[in-house]
Amino acid sequence: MRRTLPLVLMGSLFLACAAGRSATREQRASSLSSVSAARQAGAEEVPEAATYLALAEEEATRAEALMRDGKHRDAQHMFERAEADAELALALAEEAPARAEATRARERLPSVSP
Amino acid sequence: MIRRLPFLVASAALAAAAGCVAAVPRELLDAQTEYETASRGPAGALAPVRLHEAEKALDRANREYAKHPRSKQVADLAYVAKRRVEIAESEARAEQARRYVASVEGEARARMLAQGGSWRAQQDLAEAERLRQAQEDAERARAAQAQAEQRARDAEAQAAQREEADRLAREQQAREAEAQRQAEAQRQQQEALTKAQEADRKAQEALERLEKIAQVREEPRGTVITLSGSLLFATGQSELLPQAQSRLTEVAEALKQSPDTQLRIEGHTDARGTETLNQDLSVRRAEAVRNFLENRGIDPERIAIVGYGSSRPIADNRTPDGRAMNRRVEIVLKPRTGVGGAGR
Repeated sequence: MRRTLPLVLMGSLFLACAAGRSATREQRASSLSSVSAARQAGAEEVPEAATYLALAEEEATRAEALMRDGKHRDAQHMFERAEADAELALALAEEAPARAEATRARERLPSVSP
Repeated sequence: MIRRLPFLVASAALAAAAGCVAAVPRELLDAQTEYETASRGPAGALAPVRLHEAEKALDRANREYAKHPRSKQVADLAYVAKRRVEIAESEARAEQARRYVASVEGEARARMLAQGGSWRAQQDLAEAERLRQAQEDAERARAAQAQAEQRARDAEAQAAQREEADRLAREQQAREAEAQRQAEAQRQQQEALTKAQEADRKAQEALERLEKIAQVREEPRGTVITLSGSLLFATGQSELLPQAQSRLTEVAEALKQSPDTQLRIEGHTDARGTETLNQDLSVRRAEAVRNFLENRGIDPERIAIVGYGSSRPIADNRTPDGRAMNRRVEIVLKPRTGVGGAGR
């Protein structure tokens, strides 16, 4: 028992670290996917969306650095921030044309109240 | 979850007040406030899924704070929750805009139907109008292009016509000039011919006149006019006799009619007297004739003189008649060759 306990503890630690790295990698993939989706949606062309896209990219870069430093938990949270900012950029990029269309509809038919 | 929020906030605040945990991070408070505001707005109805995600994110941040109040990850999770709320609000605004567009279109469609028309038909008409306008614009552009091309072609054709006309005019001008030149050449030829004929005629007339006053004969050296010495000079003298002057005047007039001839005046004597005297006398007599002819308007450049003395008799010097014939002056006419005759 004395011999096996350290081994079990070391194995648990190893598994925990491995799980942390895996979660970070998954979060990283998810974040980068969101950034890509926002860019494809034209977030760079919509000023308010572009701000959040830039923020997401910056956070993703910082998260990569944290990963390289072995700070997987911090990296994962930074990737989560990046993902949230990228998804907001995407939402704003999709909102802009909808609102523009509403404005055009209002101009076309000014007598129809919204 | 909304109902649970006040509890969570209250528990966090209580814990902070008890001094057990750090103060609630500003990010978490902001996220909570924004979530409450959003949940009271249109997001609840227009973006319920997104709002639910925001609620979960906020819940996660609150739980992290409850478990680890000093954890720096609370700020990260609150940040994410706040963004989720903003995403829900953005999606709600987009949905609101879409619904507004749909309502406007619906209302317009209804109006069209009420007016006996079809909104879609109206849209189609508008689209058709736009297409027609675009086609008209394109047609106008094509027409303008075609017009411009036609103008360019016309200008080119006009230029070609002008060039052709110029070319024809130049050719006509050249033909006229050539015809004029030929006519002029013909005229000049004719004139020259006429002049030559006239000259021949005058020369012939002159010759005929000369034949009346002197002996004229054709020899290889030219036309020889022989004037009897007894008619021109007294014996041994070289001054012209008065009756000789009228005769020589006629000779001069006749010679004037053939200006293209060279005159060679030769003086001859009979064999009486010394040869030296005769030679000198023959020269002086030739000079006298030359001077007379010059005074009567014969160009001196035409005249050459020579004295042969008695060296070239034409009759017997032993008889008076023969000597009379040998005393003579001969004028030899030759066409001008540009070569001067003997000395004067």
